[in-house]
Amino acid sequence: MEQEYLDPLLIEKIRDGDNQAFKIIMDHLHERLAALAFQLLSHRENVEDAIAQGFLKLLEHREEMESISHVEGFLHETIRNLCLDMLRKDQRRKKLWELRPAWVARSEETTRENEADYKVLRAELAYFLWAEVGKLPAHLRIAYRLSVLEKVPAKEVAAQLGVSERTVRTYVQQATEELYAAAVSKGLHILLILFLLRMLAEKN
Amino acid sequence: MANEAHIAQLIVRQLRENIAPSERRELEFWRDSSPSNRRFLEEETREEAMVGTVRGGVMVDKDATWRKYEALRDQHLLSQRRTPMIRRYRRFAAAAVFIALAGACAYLWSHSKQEENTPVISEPYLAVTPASSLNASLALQDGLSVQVNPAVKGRVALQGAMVTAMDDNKLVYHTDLLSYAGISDILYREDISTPGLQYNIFHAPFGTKYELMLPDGTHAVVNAGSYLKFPVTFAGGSRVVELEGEAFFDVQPDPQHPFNVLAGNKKIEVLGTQFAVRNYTDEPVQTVILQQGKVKVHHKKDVVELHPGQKAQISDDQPIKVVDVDLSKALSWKDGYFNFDDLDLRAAICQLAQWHGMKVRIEKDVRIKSLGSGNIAHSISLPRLLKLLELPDLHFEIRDSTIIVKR
Repeated sequence: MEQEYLDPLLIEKIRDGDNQAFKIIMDHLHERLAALAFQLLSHRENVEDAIAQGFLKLLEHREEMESISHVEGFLHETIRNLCLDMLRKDQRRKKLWELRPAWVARSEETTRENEADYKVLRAELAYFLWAEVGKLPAHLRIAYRLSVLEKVPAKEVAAQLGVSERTVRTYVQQATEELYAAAVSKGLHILLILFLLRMLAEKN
Repeated sequence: MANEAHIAQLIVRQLRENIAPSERRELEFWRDSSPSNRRFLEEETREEAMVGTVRGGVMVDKDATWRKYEALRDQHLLSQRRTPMIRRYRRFAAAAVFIALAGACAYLWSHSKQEENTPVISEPYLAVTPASSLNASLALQDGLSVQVNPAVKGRVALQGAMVTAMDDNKLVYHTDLLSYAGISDILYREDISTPGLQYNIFHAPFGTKYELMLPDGTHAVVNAGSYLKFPVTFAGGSRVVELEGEAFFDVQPDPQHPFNVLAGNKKIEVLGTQFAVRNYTDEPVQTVILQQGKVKVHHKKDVVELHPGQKAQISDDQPIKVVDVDLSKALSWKDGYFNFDDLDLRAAICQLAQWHGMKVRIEKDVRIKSLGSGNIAHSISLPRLLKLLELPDLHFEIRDSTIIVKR
């Protein structure tokens, strides 16, 4: 899969509208685009819609694409904007909703602007971090993905990777360190901290 | 939230290494005030924040996205091919619409006289907005809105001194967890100095009802399409909640702190009792039904005292009317049933539609006058329920968000 993505002819195939090439792009970018969209829309199905629509836009504009990184940037931006549009539409619909009592409207309005800024920041961070997850060495990536993101018990992860549970823990720790280092090197740790607000509020 | 924001700010400063000594002491005090705060600060901060961010990447099904894309793509390719045809038809379609409209106008004009004295309805008349989402939500004072997903049990939100937990369609406020987390202690102390400032707004969407345990132990059943606003902690002389929609209350007795329900321009004054309030803004008549105890209903200058088994009917331009009701029928909704006894077809269908957030249209030739009697469970899906209610000369159709009743 990795090799297919790095194929120098891939961009030509995209420009030709080759379905298989689009699938390769989807396979490679779906996770980070989903991470981005999920922060903005928080409903799985809406995220699927937004990404599907983004790919349709790519199909429409395929001939303008100059490189795979251009495609990446195009999808990133298009899907972010589609999500923001969906958010706005949702809010407009809520505004038209006459049944809603006045005090609900008030409390929503005051927080809406901060909320949108915050969401965009968070979405960008999600996209960035996923790209970084993709760059991790395979064993770290798999360990991190399974045990941290999918919450698979350490025992099973160990069995899948053919290492001890302790090694899995070490992998996870290494992956976390690397991701954090990447975030800090891009000056993103401040963004990261924005989460504290939300997390403190949700803390068990 | 103010406090949480402040603590978060301190953590940011510490990580950027420009924290002042006094702030560091403050943060240390917070950290030491509970083991969970310490753990949060030392271990979870970095890792969990990242995990929360990237998890979206594995929660969305790639194959589902791809299938959606393929559907869009096929549609797109098809529409590109079809464009000229559609253009050709457009002019014709416009003419057809015009002719149809003219016909309809003529028909309505010729029939308008006759319609005035027929009680049968042909237009959608119950404008209930469809549910914005399928999940119930709890809007917190600080702007957070928490989706309440019945499939997930456990803690849903923490605000001020309160921890909200839920079990099936129940939300419970655990005041006994106040001392559980250090941050709650801090906020709790603040709450006493600024009483009654924090509110939650609970929203039950159409198609479901929720049970809530309010902070004072009062039990509330919130019916479909309703809002209930209540303080995080009841403070001051009286306990006040605001209602839009329908709810049943079993009030925790407390003579020192009378319980009041504000419903639009109506106020219900309570001293330990069980009663239901129906206050949907799209309905001309609002009601209060008393099951047990005593309530006073205030509306403008009108005050009425209810006795158990009585119902107050309140409409804007008339004095409050009190009638006797059969409680088991009138309050059947809170136990999860529709009851169509003594209701004509229109009222019964409206009740059904209201619950599901649908509109109703009854066609002119419908002759059936009622839907029969007895209880029918809310939990039966609408299509199935309508199927069950069908008679040889009574049929239903669901189109968009309208239930069409026909012969």
